[in-house]
Amino acid sequence: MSKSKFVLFGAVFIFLFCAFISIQIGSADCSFKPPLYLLQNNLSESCQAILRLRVLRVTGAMAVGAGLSISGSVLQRLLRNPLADSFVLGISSSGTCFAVVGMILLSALNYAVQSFHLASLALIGSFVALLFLLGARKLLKLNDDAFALPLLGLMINSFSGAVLMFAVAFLAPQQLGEAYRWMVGAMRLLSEVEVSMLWLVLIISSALLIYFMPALNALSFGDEFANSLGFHSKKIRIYCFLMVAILAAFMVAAAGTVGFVGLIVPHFVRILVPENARIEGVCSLFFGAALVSVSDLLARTLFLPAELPVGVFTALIGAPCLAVILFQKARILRAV
Amino acid sequence: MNECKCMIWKKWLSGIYLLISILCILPVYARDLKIVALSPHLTELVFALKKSKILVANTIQCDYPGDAKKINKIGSYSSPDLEKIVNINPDIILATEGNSKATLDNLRRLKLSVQEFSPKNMGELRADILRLGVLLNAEKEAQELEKKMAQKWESLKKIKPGKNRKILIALQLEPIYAVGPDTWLGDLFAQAQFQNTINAGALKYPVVGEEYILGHLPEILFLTSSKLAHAVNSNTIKKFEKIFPSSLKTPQIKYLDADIFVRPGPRITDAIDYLLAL
Repeated sequence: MSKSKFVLFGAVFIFLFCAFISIQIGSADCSFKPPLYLLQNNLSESCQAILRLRVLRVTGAMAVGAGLSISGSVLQRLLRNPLADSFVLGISSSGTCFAVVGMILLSALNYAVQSFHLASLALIGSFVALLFLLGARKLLKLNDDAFALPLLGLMINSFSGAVLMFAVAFLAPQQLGEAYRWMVGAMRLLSEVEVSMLWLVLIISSALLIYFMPALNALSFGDEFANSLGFHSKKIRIYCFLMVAILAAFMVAAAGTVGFVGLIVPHFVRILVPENARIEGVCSLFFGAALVSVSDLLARTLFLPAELPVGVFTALIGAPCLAVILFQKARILRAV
Repeated sequence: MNECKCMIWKKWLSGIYLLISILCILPVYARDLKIVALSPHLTELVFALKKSKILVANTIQCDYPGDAKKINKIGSYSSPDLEKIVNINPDIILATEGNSKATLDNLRRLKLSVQEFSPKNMGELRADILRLGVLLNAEKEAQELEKKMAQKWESLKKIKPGKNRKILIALQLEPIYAVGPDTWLGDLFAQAQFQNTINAGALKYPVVGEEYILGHLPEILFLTSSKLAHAVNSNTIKKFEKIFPSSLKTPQIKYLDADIFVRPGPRITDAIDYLLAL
């Protein structure tokens, strides 16, 4: 068995293991017999309801993790920037900004604000950022995406951050908790329809992005090199940005700003499978899903009865991991 | 003879000195104290002790009784304006736990008298009322109020309207901010013999997940609401109720007036009456 296949099987195993423990452990005391959870007829009514909530929560968290990881993996190649992830384009911060500002405006109009409205606003905000990026790119006739798009993203991030800070001052005390969860990144209760939508977007976008991975591999050596291999670099860039933006928009609508996942998972996978771009993409999906599900498990069980935002744990796990990866890479470079 | 004259002059001079001293000090005692209250519950207590005339400023959240709204405002409860307070130059500043610590430290540095009142339970509130009575020269009123509260409290402990029913006290539902046992509200409901489904944890007001609620199945959900809150709406309630499958009993939802229940002030007797009627 080749190393790539071994890593892929390992990723699938870790993904399944994390899914298993995340469904098995929770704040409510209910024991389920794996693996056919939903077919167990002997479960009490309350245990069935708890199981339904837990499955929705875990599948939602896994979709978010997978989406963020593949976005990061694609963007790092596309922008030739090892620190790029879906937040670098400003899409996530714009989504969060729309959700929080919308919360204030709807409340001012005495409108009953619900999480569904906020998720829709986050989606709109993310698409506004995407349209701005594509519009500015076309209007300014920017050719060097690797340089221009992160700069435009930085601009959106700074502006959204300033608007958010301004908006927080106008929030009613009871809305601060909700705004904080959007900003830090926290899983909310998703319905079956919402989770299905999330997975549908994830599967379609990921399939397309993985299909483009060899082209992205060529693009990471420059546009001319990619063109010489027969890839249409400009078209691929736009398709990939579009897919990443759609993914980021849905992930923000589901969980707010969950940081570090898109940054560390691709780096980690690249250490394991440095040559194969497609395997890297697929492994990023599985490892990303596993990371967010474990972070969510910690968030909802570590300080019971309190539930903490998942973004806190992805950052707590992510930052030391990134440091380890950097040290390892530095050691390899010194050895060379 | 000369010595005798000298003694008389000395006596006269001493008398004049004493008179001047009294005249100098008298205005300080004669003028009323100037009080600033940095919390709605402290404003309510000052009014209850019939000392509203000496209350020269309070916060924008101080809205009860009606006359409290007309008093000069020095900013919000969480971040009172330091300059406005210093400009008033109050004799006593009544502060509480939620006020900006930095502002209180600065006021103390400026040699202003800051008195903190942060009761965690009924016993501490009663002690606070007596202390406030001494500070405001309203000992008699304070003793009467404290006595009234003690009677209500005893009746609550005697009747025990909770009957060990499992409850969840929530400040809001999106996300679900629950009230823990080590809080003012938690203690009040515990004394009424309600069983809080939130265990003692690291956080006083934890955000709890839907799964936790489903796992503990409270019989009653007490939801605080105030004039400011717009978190309570029918859709939020419907969403909460959807967590429970049709075969399980959905908790009975009862609204608590946040201004009465959350503020540890004189209106806590109304809160006790509400609990006794359950």
